[in-house]
Amino acid sequence: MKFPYRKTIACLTLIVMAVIFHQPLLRVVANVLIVDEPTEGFDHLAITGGDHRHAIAGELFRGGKIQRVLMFEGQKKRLIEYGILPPPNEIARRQLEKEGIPADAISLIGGETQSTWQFAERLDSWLRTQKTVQVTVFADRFRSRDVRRVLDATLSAGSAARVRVRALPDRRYDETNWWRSRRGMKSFGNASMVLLYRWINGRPESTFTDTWDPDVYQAQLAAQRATEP
Amino acid sequence: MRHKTRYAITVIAAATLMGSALYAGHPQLLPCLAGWLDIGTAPQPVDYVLALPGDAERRPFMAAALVNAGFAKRAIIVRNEISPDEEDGIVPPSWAIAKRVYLARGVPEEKIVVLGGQSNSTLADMEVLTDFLSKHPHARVAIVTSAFHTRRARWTLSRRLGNEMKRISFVSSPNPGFRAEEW
Repeated sequence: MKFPYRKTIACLTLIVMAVIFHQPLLRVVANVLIVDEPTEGFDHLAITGGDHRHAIAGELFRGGKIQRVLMFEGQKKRLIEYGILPPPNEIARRQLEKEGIPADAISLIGGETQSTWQFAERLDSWLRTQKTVQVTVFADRFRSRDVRRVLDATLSAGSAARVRVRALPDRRYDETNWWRSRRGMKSFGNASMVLLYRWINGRPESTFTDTWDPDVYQAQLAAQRATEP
Repeated sequence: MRHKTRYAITVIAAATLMGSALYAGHPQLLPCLAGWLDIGTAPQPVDYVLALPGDAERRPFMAAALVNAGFAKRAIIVRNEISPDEEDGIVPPSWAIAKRVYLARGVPEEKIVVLGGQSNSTLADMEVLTDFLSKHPHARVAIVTSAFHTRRARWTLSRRLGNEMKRISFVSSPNPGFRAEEW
């Protein structure tokens, strides 16, 4: 004899369990996004992101745990062209110097770096010339698995083993409480989408070139305005 | 049992057919979806232009062009919540970046209105704007935001403004990093 409502009861039980155990469940889900590896002895540092990244770099440098910081040339964006913001590597250099890392301990690796993929390519080229160096990569906590995946997909096996990812937590949320704030949810959602996209598509073909020009747009508007009654 | 098998086969066949149709039609369907999100219109003369926070590479440049070309008399900037990098002084606050863009593009300082608050979402931006509009009952405002964000921005504002939405227009700025035809 079949028990009536067994599907309904099973569904309700699942829902009740999910409500009761939502905290550990959400923590487990966030942990999927995180790769945080031991970095003892990895005395070169490259920064892709992460909260308090310059301050933590300064602490590690002062404690003798890192010897050199590698900086990558950023994208030449419109705000930089207009002098509204300094280039990102200039901003980083100032912050690192403020944290006690001298200019001669900072190396700039050339070539425009617009994405994590390009960062990995530049790092790979550099590692091929430095046969024994080991590098710690700072990453935003929820983006760290994505960074690790891109590094593994781009670097040769030997080079990939010489790079470790350290996941820096955001001051406003982490994997234990991200669902309590809008920022945390947004960050979790964005990072999950990026990871999912990479799993499905791998490396995207970069075909986009920003051709929008504010001067051309303004001239078009002015011409349009001049012809209006 | 036979009924159940027939039902399962029908469902699988329908799903396969629909999946194939969607796959075959995706080059036409996906740009349509992106187009649905974009409700921006051609610029009309307004009293104020507001570039929503975000994508400072395009939105404030576009709003500045609207002021310079005579489509808007003044530009509004909404102050927003400070990010960790802004808090640490690594980068200036985004409202300050927007103001620098306007000045760099030749918009005089007296034409820039900075609204207070600690906006941290489209909803909060719209609350600040609603408050401003209540103090300027005849002002018409053009909102500049990324094309794919215009529908959500309009929906959020319409919940606050209701009939007053006729004072608002939306101008789409290019989406950052991708074209709508191939998102």
